[in-house]
Amino acid sequence: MSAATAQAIETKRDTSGDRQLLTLYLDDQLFGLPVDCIKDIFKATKITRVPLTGHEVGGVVNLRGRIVTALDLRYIISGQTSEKKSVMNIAVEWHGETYSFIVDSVSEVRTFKGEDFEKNPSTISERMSTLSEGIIKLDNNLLIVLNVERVFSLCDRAREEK
Amino acid sequence: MADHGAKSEHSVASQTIRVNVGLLENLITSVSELVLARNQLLQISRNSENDDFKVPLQRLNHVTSELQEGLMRTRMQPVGNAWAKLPRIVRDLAQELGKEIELDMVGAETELDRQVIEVIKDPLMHMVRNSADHGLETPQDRTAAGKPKKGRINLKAYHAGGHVVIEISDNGRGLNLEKISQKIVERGLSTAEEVAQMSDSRIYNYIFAAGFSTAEKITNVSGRGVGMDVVRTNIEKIGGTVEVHSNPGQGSIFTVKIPLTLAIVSALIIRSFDQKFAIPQVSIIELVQASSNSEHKVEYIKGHPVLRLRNKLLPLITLSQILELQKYDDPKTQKTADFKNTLSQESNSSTCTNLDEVAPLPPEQRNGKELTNTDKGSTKNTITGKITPFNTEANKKESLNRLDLNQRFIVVAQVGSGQFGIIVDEVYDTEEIVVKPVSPILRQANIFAGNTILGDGSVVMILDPKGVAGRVGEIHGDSAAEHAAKKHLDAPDERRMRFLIFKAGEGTPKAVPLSLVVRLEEIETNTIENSNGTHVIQYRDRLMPLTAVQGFLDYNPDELKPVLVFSQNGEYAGLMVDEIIDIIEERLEIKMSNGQGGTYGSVVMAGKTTDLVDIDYFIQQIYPNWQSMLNQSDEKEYPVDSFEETVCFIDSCNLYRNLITPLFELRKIQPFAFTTAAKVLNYLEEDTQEFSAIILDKDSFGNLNRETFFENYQHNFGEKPCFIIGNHFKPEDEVFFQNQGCIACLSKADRESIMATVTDYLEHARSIAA
Repeated sequence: MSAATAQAIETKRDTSGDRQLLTLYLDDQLFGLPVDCIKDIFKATKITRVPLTGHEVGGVVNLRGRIVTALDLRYIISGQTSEKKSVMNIAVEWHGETYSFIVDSVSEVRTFKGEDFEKNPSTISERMSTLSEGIIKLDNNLLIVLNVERVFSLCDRAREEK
Repeated sequence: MADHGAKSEHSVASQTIRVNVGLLENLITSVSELVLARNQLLQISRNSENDDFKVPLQRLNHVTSELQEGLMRTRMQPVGNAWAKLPRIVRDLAQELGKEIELDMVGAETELDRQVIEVIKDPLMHMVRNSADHGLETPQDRTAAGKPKKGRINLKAYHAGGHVVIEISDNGRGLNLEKISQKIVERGLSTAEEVAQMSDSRIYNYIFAAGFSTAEKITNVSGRGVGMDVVRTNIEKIGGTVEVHSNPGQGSIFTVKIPLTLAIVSALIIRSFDQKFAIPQVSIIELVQASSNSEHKVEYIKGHPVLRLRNKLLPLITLSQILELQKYDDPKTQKTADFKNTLSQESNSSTCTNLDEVAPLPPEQRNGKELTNTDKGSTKNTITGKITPFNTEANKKESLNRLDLNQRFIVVAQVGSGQFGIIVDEVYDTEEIVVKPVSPILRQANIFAGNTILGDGSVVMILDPKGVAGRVGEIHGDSAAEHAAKKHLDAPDERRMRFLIFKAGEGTPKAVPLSLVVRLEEIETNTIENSNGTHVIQYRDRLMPLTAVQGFLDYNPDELKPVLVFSQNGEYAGLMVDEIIDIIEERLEIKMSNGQGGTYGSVVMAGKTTDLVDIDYFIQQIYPNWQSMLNQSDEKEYPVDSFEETVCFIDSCNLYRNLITPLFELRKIQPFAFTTAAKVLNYLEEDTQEFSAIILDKDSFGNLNRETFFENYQHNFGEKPCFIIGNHFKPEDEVFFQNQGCIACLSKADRESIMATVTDYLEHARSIAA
């Protein structure tokens, strides 16, 4: 599946100015990540934990001969560490370094129009509202759009607080 | 291909091509990946039944090894390249110092990675200079000691166990054990009692500490106390080690051990708890398997495990504890882990009743904080009462744990001059690994030197033994402190200052910035006289009024009292204290400022609350026209018209800036102080300030390369004179600065001569202009 999704990213290049999001699941909540920052989607067979780091760091993984730091997206979003060790990784590049997000499962790449976006409702948690750019209403679900930049700055802040 | 070239080296010596180093580096990275991929394939084929792959895989194996070897050799250069200049330097030195020196070099053809050679060039030169200057005696002394007139310096390079060893030995007088011990105590690196307990080699190795010099006089060549520290830093930077051994009267020998190459290191793969780690082979001395019935067994001193190894006690560190590996486990074991923590903490606190005993060395404070945090968490756990049978249960766990300890493996590692054992759960194998840097997000844990991919495709973290030792400050106090001191040197912290800590009156210790204190004196209380209600003593042909923090002088007749002497415009003022405790370097962070006169507020120094004394407040009470001495802030406004000239002064050392600023002001020169050369350029470009000269520390270029600086400087301010100051100028430095049009290179040690040179020059320039 991962290869197919990766290919989907290749072919569905953004042409119209609409936003393409990779949809993914954490628990039963649907999230979206902008495809332009995603480099790869892969299944990590083994994640090596790094001692003495915060929970937001899931460990380091071998991505075809490169060592990539895997971040636990669930912990970053909800403050809870994953019980079952999920292995789906989404590789993103940030400031010249490659990182990966550990997620439960990856769904598909979908294109959304500008008017589909809605602002965060004021009642959602503060953490969520810092991470999210907005909400997209789907027919039977809601999708939270994540901002990669803010995810990393949150990690940075957590690290400094340590 | 490389083989080919080597065989017919002589006939086709001219058949060489020049290749960009970057290209070679890229090739090496690719080949490293290839090696890893091959290892992976080999591992798979070992486990599979399919024989079809075996033969082609074997060939792939061979070709890859050859490729790797060949490529590595392209980077190799004979170590003699780093030695080429030495005979000349030694000859010059011999002439300058009036000594007869013979330089003997063996093993110049030993090959080393090009990168490594670049790094060790300067340290080698420095050590040879040192041997010539300090090590060897003058011909007269030598004959008197019954030695041949001609001193000898030996340089020897050879391969040993995947490393290159370079020995620099001389047959001079050897290191002066007494003088070094004395200096250790003087510099506050250790107490006299501790020094008395140290082994000779441990004391000798203090010469590598920052700012350590026992030379009585500073010469052009050495004695400034910066050299050996830099030598060690450079060598350790490339994963090497340096040691010194000495025989009084027979000479000394420096042994430098460096890795063959930086690209691939051999590492020992170990397991701790449920995770694999790599430890670089270079820092490992030996492996010991400890069990309760063998001669090596783990014993406990106040709850800290130690190992009796060949009649020496080796402090032990349990890796899984240091790395807090248990906390990743399911909640059940976490509780037991917490329990263990609380227990060991308890035993700690019960054994160390005195706060002084546990007070850690300041550099490790960050770690200390983290530790206490986790402690808090664990106590909370027990308080909430999740587990009730406290003592029995925990004791059982503890004893179980100890039993386990006795059957574990111990990796004996060396950091600096000290050794310690790391308790691991399993030892696998050594493996050649390609060190990859850890991503920035993981760098806060300075315990890892990098990470790598093993043959089976898994990622392992590479442990940095230095970082491991640093995590447990009290086990390896001095080297951890040195480490931190070095770190501080690498990244000068502008707010770090040296403070003199003293006791006066009741309450907390007091501190004043050391830079303000001119001298420390001990005065006989009998010499104190009373003049006009003020206590004075005669000091250096002047009357020095005395004051004290308590507001009154508290002394008995016939005793010696320490006095801190301050000076201004040739006048002295003394502050009488009860006891001088220490000189320490700390960041100036006022934690709590109280409105009372006389103190700036409370600061934490060496883990203790200390009052930072406003010294001007006290002196002004006895000396109404005393000027405030604390004009250290860079932005401080001076009445402009009182200054005749303005200069820019650049030095990254806070202390030195503070020392020199008042000297300029005395001469009616307004100094604009900057920490780096880059800053001064920025400032001058923004604000075209009139200035007459710049005085620049040669080591304070910051991240700017000095060529760029001068290009920029000459372009914008070509006519302004530039003076260079520094601790130690290499001949090529001086040539460089002269070529850049600098007026002079001046020694930082001689502040007066700096002032004289600069003011003379400016005066001269003024008279010409007039």
